[in-house]
Amino acid sequence: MRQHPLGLVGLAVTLMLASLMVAYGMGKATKQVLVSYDISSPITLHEPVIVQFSMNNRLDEKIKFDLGHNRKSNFLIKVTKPDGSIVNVPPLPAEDVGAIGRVSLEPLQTFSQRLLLNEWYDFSAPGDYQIEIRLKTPIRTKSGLTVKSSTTKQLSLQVHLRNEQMLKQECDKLIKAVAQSSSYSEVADAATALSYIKDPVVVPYLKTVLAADKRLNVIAIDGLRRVGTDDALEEIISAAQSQNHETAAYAKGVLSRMKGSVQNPVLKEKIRNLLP
Amino acid sequence: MSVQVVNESGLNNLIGALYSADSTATGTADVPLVDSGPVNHSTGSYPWRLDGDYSTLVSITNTLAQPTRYLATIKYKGGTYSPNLRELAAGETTLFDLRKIRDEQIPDKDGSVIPRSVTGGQFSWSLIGGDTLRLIGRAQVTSPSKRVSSSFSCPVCCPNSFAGFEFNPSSSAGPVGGTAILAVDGFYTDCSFNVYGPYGVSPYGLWVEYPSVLSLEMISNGSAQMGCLSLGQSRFGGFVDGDWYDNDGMDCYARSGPFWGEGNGAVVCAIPVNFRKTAASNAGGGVLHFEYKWDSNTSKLADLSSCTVGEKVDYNAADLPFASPPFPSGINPSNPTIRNVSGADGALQDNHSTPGTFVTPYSARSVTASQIYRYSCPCHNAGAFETLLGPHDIVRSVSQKTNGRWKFTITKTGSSAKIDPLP
Repeated sequence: MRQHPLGLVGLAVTLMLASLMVAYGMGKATKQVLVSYDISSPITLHEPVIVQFSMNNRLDEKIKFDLGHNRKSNFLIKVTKPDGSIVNVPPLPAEDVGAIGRVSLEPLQTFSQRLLLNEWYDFSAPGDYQIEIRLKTPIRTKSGLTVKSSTTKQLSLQVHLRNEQMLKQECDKLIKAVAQSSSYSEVADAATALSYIKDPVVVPYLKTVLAADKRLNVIAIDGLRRVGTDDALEEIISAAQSQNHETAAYAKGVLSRMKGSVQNPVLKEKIRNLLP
Repeated sequence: MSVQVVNESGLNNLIGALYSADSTATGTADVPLVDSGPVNHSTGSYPWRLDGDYSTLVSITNTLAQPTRYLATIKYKGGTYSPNLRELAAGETTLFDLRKIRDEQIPDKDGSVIPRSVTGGQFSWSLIGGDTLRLIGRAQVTSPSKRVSSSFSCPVCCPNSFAGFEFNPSSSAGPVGGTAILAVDGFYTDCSFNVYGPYGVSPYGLWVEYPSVLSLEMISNGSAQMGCLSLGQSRFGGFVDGDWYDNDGMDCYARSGPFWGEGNGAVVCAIPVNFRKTAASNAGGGVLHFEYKWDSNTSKLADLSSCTVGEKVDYNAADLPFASPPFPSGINPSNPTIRNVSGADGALQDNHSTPGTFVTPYSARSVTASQIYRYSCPCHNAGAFETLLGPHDIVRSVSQKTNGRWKFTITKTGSSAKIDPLP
């Protein structure tokens, strides 16, 4: 079969156009907003579940997005449990004082923050979890256009059987951060991660947090409440007798709400004596 | 390139001449041979010009076996171009091509360039160091079109003298845990008392009057880092060995010794100031939304990274849990409610909601909470909380309207949100 000359030209033009389209596409691909979520997995049961969220602006203009109250409440999370059941986790409440969630990002800048998923969901059993995480609000350019970047990611989390040694190592690492950092954000992040280790092993560490910085008393007492063992209750009772009026008041408030569920008669009596 | 003539004859006098020939042009140029001579010959001050096809090349050569530093300055009408201090290795020659420096806009140590419109000025240079060192220099000004070649090797009275050094800024302040970078600037003078500098120097024997307040270390030539350790003030300083020259109109007399420089540092406690409401709105559904901002007394929010800013809300214990009906069931906030954000954020939001569904039968009820905004900085008053705003009331009330229906109102500092009517 004889090839028509124009056919060759047409083929050449088509190839050129295809090349241009690929080049354009590649160019577009590099000029976008990259959103990533990286999870630490596997972990041992009761270890904090940390996701590193980051957003890299590769556009030529500034972008804006809103992470919500305390830079958390606009993240939506869906958990597929090891047994296959799905939990649509409600967003974190946007109540009381919190950090402002609106973030502006200049071209080539990256924003990142750690998300402690235990604040959303209690990964209370070992097994394989699938987690869908997304930002419910759009990313917009300075000029108001919506950026077409996916802010949704599927994550896999393996939770192994409880390993006390590993939990203690994690607690040691976090308490070190509480003790050594001069940045309140870092201190509070570490203390909060400790407070979500819902395991008796954390009790002495939370006691240390409580003694270290009165600004962390709420975080520590809430952590002890979540652990809920007799040891943890003893520490809350001790905090309720603290010389620090605020720590004592907060601990009493927590005991007041817990008193109905306390089984140990000795602790019940102690709480009764403490509360008006 | 340089040509060195070594007299190994044992005789004291030697006469010679050197000519430079350009194979592409029809001229030769006289290249005077010079002896390194006394130390005042280790300087130079030459005219330079670039008008037309004139070019100016300046060479400086280290004639001895030990490395030697020099300072060069290119002056022109309206400005000065200051290359960095440089060291020449034994026998090394450095060349300044004035046209290249100007046309390629090569920046000097301060980032300045010679404007393209400049066509001439003065080039001066000097040995930096004691009188056991020797440099020689020469400027060659040529114009092929005019068949001109001029050679200059005029010295000045004496080499430049080290005039001293200073920490810049000489007085600075930073927060506890902060650091500040200080320039350590050395200066030189010529025998006409013109000052050259700053040039980075590296003092030795660094001292701090109160080491518990400040630390000081050199991080590079010309840069020191001051560390802020605890509240207070302290002087600090160090020493730089320098050479200077006296002259009696005929000869130069070298002197050398340590120069003393010092500064003062203050370590301050960064605290939040100017706490102010920046937004108040009815967010709908009976939710009140507020935003607040603050500054740092040091003007840098990052200095507040160890501080917290937040709220404390106290309820009457008798009001908890909220009476239901009429309030939604299960509202039992922490008492006190305490929330903090990092002081370095510089802003916070505060939402007051009453989550859930109001419960019938409605009745007139009110819950009043008392709120303060406050801060805590470890360096201030042992980290005690200090009030920024308040106390003020947050009032939630269910009340009956004149038409017999019921409404919910929440108010704070003159702002309110409603559910009107309640379903």
